[in-house]
Amino acid sequence: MMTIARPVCARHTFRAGADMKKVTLNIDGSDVVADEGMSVLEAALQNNIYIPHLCYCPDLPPRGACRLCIVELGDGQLVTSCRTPVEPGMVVKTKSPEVDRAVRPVVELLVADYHASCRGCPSSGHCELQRIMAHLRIDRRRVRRLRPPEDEKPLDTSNPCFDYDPNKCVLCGICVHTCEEIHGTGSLYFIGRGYDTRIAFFGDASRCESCMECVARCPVGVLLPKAQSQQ
Amino acid sequence: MEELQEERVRQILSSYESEPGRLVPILLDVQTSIGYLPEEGVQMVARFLNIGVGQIYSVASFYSRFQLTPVGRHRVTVCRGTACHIRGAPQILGEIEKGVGLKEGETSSDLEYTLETVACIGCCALAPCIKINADVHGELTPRRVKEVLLSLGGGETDA
Amino acid sequence: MPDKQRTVLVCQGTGCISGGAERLYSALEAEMARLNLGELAWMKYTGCHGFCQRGPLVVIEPDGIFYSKVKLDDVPDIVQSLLPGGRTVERLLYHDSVIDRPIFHYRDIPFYYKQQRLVLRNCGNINPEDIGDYLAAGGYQALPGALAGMTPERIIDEVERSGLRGLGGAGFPTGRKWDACRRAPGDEKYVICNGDEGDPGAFQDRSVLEGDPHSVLEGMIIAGYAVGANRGFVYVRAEYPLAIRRLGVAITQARERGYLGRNILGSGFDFDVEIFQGAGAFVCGESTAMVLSIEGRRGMPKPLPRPRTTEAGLWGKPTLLNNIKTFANIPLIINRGAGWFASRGTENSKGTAIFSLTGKVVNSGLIEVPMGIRLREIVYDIGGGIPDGRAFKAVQTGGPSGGCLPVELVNMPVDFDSLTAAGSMMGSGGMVVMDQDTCMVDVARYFLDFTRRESCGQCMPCRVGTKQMFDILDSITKREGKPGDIELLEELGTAVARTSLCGLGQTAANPVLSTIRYFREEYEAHIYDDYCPAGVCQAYL
Repeated sequence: MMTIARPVCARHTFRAGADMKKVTLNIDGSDVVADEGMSVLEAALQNNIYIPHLCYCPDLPPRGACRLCIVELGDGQLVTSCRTPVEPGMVVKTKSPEVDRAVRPVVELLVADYHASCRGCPSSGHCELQRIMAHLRIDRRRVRRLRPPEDEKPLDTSNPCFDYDPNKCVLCGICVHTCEEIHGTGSLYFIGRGYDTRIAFFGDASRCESCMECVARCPVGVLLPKAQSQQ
Repeated sequence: MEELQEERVRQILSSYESEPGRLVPILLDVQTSIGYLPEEGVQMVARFLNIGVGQIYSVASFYSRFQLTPVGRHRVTVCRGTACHIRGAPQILGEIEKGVGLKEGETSSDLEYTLETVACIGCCALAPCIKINADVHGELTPRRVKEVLLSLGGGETDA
Repeated sequence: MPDKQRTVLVCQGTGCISGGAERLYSALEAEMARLNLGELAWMKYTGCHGFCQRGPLVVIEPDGIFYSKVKLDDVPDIVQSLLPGGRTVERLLYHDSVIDRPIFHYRDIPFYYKQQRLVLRNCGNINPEDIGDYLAAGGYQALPGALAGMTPERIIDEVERSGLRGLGGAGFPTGRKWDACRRAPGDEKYVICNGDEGDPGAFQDRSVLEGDPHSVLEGMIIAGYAVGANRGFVYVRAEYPLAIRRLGVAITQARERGYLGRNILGSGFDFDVEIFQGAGAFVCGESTAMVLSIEGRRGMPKPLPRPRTTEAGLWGKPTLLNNIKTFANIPLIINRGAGWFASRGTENSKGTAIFSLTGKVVNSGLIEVPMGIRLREIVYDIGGGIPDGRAFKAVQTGGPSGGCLPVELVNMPVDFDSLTAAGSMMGSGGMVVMDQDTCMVDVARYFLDFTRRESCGQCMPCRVGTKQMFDILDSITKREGKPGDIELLEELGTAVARTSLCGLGQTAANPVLSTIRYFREEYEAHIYDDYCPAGVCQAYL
């Protein structure tokens, strides 16, 4: 099985746990210890239990946008683990028939949407979606039932330091929020609505300070430093 | 942007307070006054509200009503509502596409016509309906459509 | 003003106006002046009378004589009929196809007599641009009664006991929502009236605003008093210019009379309202998205868990959000009491439902019926059945979030819970009748086309899922369906419903799943038998 190097966001740095109150919960049959105030997702990841996620980044508030981190609680409820705080005695299932019925088709939809093949992609090997596909053992025969997307949009080369591939973008929003909340410039925006939404500078390119934080955090590597994307 | 248009935008801005909550009403006023949102107009609004131009485009591009490119003198809007669909709106759209030589979302190069669709005009009992600028035309048939277009002064463009 | 004998009411709703009602009004006015009718009759223009298909409409009161499909050429005859010895213009009367006799009085027309027009009580009877008319019809009596004689808790109790449920779509108990907003801590609260009405095929909110805007204002002011809010917004989609204009006139007049503004009727309570125009996004009918759009942002709904809008809504303050029709019910409940209201409807769905009845039906228009009425009564008794002798196939309710009810369900009661149990929902009241010439696969494709265009794009299942479901349905209608597509649609639909962030995505699959549930054989005919049973899909003809 190939080792996939994770992008920056996946290198989790959790809050120092020493003097925080501890909470014990049960994930997939095992008791794990977490800090009070952590999300179920964070508690799982910290204990080396993987839950698929694309829009989560440890130093940004969880947005619950990708819906892939859905887990099943003891009462059968399906919730996004990134926005569910841990509670003592909680019972969580990350892999159940219900979770699979809910999440697998969504991942298959993403794969069918411009990710049908990883061949030739400059980010292959550094991609969270690949990790999710391996974790769920996505069957490409099932993916081929879906209708492929129609036209390919051209690469956006307008920024001096990096290029943006709008086709493979999963619109997780990490770059937009990084620019706005962490770097503070706020010059990357969502443009449009629905399926045709894209990321762009749209007139504020002069505000970009080339810190490359967005590039470092993109979970699927569609923001590429100029040198790399031209391979 | 022409000087007259610039003046109109200035007038619009002078009637508002500089608050972020006023963005959508301001843009709607500019849109109504000029017919679309010209780039210089957006820049003026950005300066007035002290927000980035990109943020305005981010908001404007989310809402269907905002046009970022100039519109034609006759803005033909075909209703895509349920009742209109059941009563033959796709055929009406087809007739109009032939009549003005445009596809949905396009504006003719002489800026005479813009063709667009909208989710629902709200005249469902008179389906199928279209709007030409502010006028609603209901209970259309392909033949009535031809008549309506002719009455605008030239149903066919030279496209 | 001297007592005139008759009133000539000319409908000036958007529908009738598109049929020439404005010119008709001017012509009638001119002719009446020419013949010096002064003492015998006077004119009034009104909002939507509901029977839009038969417009332009002219009603002569107090007789209730109903003239439909009136043209300019008919003006002299109508004016003649108002003179002493004048005769009713029979050719303009409504002709019932079953009885085959002209009906003089609109109250005898089945379209009307089976209705219970409460929310629509004034639509078609008053001049919406004259507050005096609203007052003469009993308006602005609930408000002084509430301000002077009831505490906020008492008002909320009355609304709760009435059993009123929100008429915007979800049917949440209104009194409970008001109570939650009242209890929320904070001095600054807001009331928002949802007039976004994005459902294609629904026009009730438009009609109420065009025909009786004060009923909504009165409801909002009472709500503001009950929950402790001093500012309100009426969110109206920009596609409704006439409704916006009439509402603006109503607000001005209400302010002039002291029903809006500071120290209303000497009560010490301040409340004022402004209009906010929606800029074209169906998703903004969702409460958190509506709040975001008023704040000048992209209307992308907020995920759970999140504070309730009643606790933290507009600008983070407690906000009460209700639909136009819900507010229009409030003056009635305060005037007549919870018991009166709760005596109508069913156990769990009190009061009335307002539907835009459209599609393949003889009498198309706006109707208001008691909750629990049988679907059959709506389609046949009020709607007049299917035109041209075609066969009834299904009724779609709830717009793009709803589902189809096939002929087997024609005897079902129509209320919130029955509709949900059948795989559809009340939604905001669109009711589209379909006949044998309607292709149900095309219907599902149509609704998914709407939903995928309106998806905000924030969450992955809805953004990519609605597009994919549309693509599959589109290809089936274009003779490119593949074996396994029906099962695939069921799988995707269920996943999108379970994982989507907001109601738009969660209900997006309803039209597909319900048409597959009741009309699977039509899907199979397209995919396996290579034909479209309804004869609609062009690629098969």
